[in-house]
Amino acid sequence: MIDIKLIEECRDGNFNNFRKLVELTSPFAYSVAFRMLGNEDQAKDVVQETMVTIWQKLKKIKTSQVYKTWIYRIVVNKCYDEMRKRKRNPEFVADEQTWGVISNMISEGPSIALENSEISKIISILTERLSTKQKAVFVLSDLEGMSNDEISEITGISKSAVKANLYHARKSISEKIEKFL
Amino acid sequence: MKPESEKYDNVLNLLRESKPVLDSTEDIEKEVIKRITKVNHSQLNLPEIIDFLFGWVYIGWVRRGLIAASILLVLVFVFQQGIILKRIGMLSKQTVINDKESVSTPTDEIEKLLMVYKNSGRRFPSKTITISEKQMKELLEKVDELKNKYKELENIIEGDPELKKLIEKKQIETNRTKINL
Amino acid sequence: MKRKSIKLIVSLILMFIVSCDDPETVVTNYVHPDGSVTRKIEMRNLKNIFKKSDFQVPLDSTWIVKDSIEINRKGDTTWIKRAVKQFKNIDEINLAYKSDSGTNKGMLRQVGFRKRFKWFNTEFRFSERIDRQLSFGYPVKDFLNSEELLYFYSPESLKHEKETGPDSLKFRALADSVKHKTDLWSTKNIVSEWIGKFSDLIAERAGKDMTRESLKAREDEFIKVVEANDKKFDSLWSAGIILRKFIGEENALKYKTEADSALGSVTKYFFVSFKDYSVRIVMPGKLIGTNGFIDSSHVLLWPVKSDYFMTEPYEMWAESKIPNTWAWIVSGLFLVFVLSGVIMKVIKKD
Repeated sequence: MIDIKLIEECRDGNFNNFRKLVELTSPFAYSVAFRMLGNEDQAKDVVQETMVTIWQKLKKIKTSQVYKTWIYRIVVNKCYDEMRKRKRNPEFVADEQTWGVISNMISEGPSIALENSEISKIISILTERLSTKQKAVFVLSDLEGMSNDEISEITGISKSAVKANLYHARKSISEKIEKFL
Repeated sequence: MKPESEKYDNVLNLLRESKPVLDSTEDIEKEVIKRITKVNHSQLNLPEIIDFLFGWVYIGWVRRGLIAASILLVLVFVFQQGIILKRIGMLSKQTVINDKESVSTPTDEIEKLLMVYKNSGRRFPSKTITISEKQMKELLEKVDELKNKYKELENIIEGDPELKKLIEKKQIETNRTKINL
Repeated sequence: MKRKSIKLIVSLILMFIVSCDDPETVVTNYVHPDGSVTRKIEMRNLKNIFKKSDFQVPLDSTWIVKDSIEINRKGDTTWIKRAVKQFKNIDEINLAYKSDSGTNKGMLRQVGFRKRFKWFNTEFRFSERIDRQLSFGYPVKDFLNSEELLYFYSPESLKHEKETGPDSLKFRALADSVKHKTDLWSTKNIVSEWIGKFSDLIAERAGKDMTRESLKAREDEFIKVVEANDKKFDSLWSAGIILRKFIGEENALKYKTEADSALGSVTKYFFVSFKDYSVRIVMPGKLIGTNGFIDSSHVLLWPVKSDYFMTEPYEMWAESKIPNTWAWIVSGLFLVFVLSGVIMKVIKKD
């Protein structure tokens, strides 16, 4: 995904190469951030913060191979910070009309691509009762397709804890889906 | 109605397929570059400062040179101080003469001496005090003046028995107070 | 030509010549780190007589002069003249010495100052040197042992203190020994100087028996002749008897003029009107070395007497140091810096 050579060059402090790195890294960083936060602006902020941190600490990573995991870890941590700040804000509450829209989308089949606002709505409704960790594990596992080992490394929690959190997350989401769809 | 797991899978498939779209990475790029240039200019972090300051330890000849310079500095210090201490030690064995031949206090310092005299319980230092001829004349004039006034006072007291009695009484009282003290 | 007996000359030069009218003088040099010197002169006299021609050190109208009197508890009055002048550098003092018109103008006196930067400290050396008067004399250290030498160079106050102190007997014996030995030293100096000057004058036409070396070899013999005829020295010299005994009749006749001339120049030195005084030096910073006497307030003192520079230059010197605080700080920081670097390297290596 990311050229190892490019990372090595960025470690030498080359701005132009870093531009390329930002360009390549931002989309998947944004994907995780947006799926976790459900807000475009906040996700963009997290991406920005992540990129600044990457620049500052790029020299610290010992090998370029661990780059991806490392970035995910930064993004997840930034999202945690953001979610902690957001706790005071009112949660998104879904009404019957919203559930109807979601139901229609699902019935249309997986061929259609949802817009950002729609993705945001769905994820927010489905994960509103999840803890921060459960949400992170769910996003990384079921949406980003990562293994439990990778998730454990990114989030810093044990594999068994990953499994437990994932189980609870899936159960909660399934219950919601069954109840409203 | 679809089975539970199927509904869950459908929702997840929909979400997995619908990747959040980052409309433009340019804004993020610009913002990140702006921030990191600002950071680069405004504050150097501690590890960078340390790396900059102690970069020489990785250059063999510079390291060896500085260590040699330090050792030399310590040796020079020990040698110099040793010689000085030895010489001072020898000085202390040299004949010390008393202050008899000291240059006596200059005339213009007489006022300072008088001040010291006043503040030191009116005790003159054992050494002699030098005063100018003019000051000596003034002193003698004042002494004469004082003597005359004393004689006048004596005459007044002798001429007035009541006053004499009163003064004698006062004198006895003063002496008693002194003894009590 | 004016001739004086050797004994008289020796007595004169050994006598502590301070007449009632001569002021007792102390010159204090306050040396500053920049090489400038504040000179203070204090002259004390029992009479209010301070003639410029009696001044032991140069003192002119450019000095700030203050007169005062001092009365001690016994009621004795001392008249004091104090003068002070700031000299920008030692050259100004040396210039003043060159143009001196006082009683000691015949002495060649020179002041020196040296400042050395030695990183941790800056060292200063101040010296005052009086050139020797005799060209063919003997160093006094050839005649006195170390204890006698110390006594010889001591200030009068110290000598007096010792001679009246608990070890008075020992010091009186020491004083007698020094007097006896310096008498001999002075006589030898006079004879040696006369031989030197005389041999210089006759060098061109002297025979083998009249070279400086051959005369010098018979120096003790000549001293014996002088001492044996001490009481009638003047008349015997005038009659040429002493000279004949020493160099033979033929040579005595041949070199009579040169012999008289040599004796004249020797006696000329001994009748130079030198007047003793004392020199004090106050150095900047901490004192680290001196050949002077130190008082309790770390002021250095040297008596200046004609004996001291008769056959050798008399140098009064003092050395001091001022620590360079900034250099100590810089060195400390440098050491900490290097040590931190080395420690850091060791830690990283582990």
